[in-house]
Amino acid sequence: MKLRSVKVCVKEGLQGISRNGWMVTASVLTVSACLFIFGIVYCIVMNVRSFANNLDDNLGIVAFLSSKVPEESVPTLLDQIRKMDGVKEVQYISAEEAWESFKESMGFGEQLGTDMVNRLDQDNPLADSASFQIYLYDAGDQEAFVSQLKTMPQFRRIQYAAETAAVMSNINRVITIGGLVLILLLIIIAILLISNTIKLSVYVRREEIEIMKYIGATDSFVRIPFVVEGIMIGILGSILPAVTIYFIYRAVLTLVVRQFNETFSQMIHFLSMSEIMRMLIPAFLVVGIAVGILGSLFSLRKYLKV
Amino acid sequence: MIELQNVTKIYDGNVIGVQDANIKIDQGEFVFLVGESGSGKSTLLRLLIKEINPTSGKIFIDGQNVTRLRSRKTAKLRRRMGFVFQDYRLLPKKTVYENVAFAMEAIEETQRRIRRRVPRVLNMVGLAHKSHNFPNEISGGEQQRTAIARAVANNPVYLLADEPTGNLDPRNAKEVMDLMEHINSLGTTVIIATHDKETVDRMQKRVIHIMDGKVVKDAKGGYDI
Repeated sequence: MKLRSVKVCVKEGLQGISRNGWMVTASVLTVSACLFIFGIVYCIVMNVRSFANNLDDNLGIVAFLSSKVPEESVPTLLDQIRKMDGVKEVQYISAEEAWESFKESMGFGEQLGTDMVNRLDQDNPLADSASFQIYLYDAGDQEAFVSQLKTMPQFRRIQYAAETAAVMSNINRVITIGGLVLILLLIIIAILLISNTIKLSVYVRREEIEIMKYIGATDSFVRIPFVVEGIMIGILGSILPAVTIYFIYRAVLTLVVRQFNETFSQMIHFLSMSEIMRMLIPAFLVVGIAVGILGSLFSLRKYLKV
Repeated sequence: MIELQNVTKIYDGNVIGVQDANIKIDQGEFVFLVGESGSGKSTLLRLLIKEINPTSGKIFIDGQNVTRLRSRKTAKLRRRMGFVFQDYRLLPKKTVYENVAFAMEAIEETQRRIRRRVPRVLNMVGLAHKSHNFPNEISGGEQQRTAIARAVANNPVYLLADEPTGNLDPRNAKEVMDLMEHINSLGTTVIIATHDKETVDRMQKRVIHIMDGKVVKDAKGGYDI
């Protein structure tokens, strides 16, 4: 098809939008409604996932070093663990650090320093508790990872939150799959609704299509204006829910910060506006445009058979 | 040249449209297809514009067998033809000018040629002064003349019309027929399906009379067999 014909088709498509105002408004609102629900579901799923991942991050494995491991070989061992599959972070906590942190958590402040504590400082009761704190990318892999660690003689004891890890990884999986299924369903519903609305618009213009075919227009020439219309409907239909979700999400963020104390909002970490919008706007455009094009093509098929 | 060889069209439910038609129409002819409603003259036209395919037999247009053509080739074939319908079939949301220009845009003509050609055909059908009116703002006769302008905009070899005067009063009907005759005089083959006896008798052209799907008369003269 020649370039100037494309121009004519685009012009026809844009004219179609202005001349079938009501039909187009109906389609745009349908797309908007579906994308709006899609956006809300997306925000919820992404935030719950981020929350779950956050909790995951705090589920570490503690591997106590055997007393036979000399201080000098710790960096090499640390490197070895860091290179293992799925490891996100490893921290070495020496016996002294463990004692300091224990003292603090038990409330033995410097000012309260008793003789006993002072004496213990000389003879660290936690002398054997040098450990590695290991965080994995996916807490669900802990079980397998731990059994691997257990084969290494450098560790004498390994602690981890097996059940919590399993539950978290399950929650994460359920939410991800559930969210995907819901979004997929919404997209299918949107395509059906939109193809129905465009079908009406095609039906209103069936004479035009018929006449074009009688005159000798090719199928692609007939199709393009409707596809252009579909694309425009998709773009227009993305704007409204994007703007609405922007304001709703902003309101929710403000509310959370204002209503709950800092600890809570740190515990439940909400994704930032830019994190949400960076994904949502392209997704809206892609889904909106794709749905518009598919909807037009589905509804046109019948009328091209003249 | 159009040639139908033993063409039969049977619709679903054994309804006979056309039966064993053998017709030859030469370049530059003016032909009336006449007969009662349902006699098969519309079927014949629909076969020629490839809206339907014959059940058996062959149709040749300019030597090309068009009985089984694919969509793209059908589009190309239709560019050699212009159609006029009883109900005009103008696009109500386009002006007279745009309706005619639309026919040229649909076959991907340049804007330059469209701007040059459309005023010329509108002038020929006597509607230059109405080019910016919408179809609902002009009379039935004017609408039909717009439809004719659209049909000839692409310089077709054939002009086919289905009851072009069916919705018009005698004066407008005569104007439309005079226009058809003028277009024919410029070299276009004109084929008109009609049951307007008065017009056919007056014009004394070649008449193909169809009855129950069969050609019962093919001769120059009036409507009656």
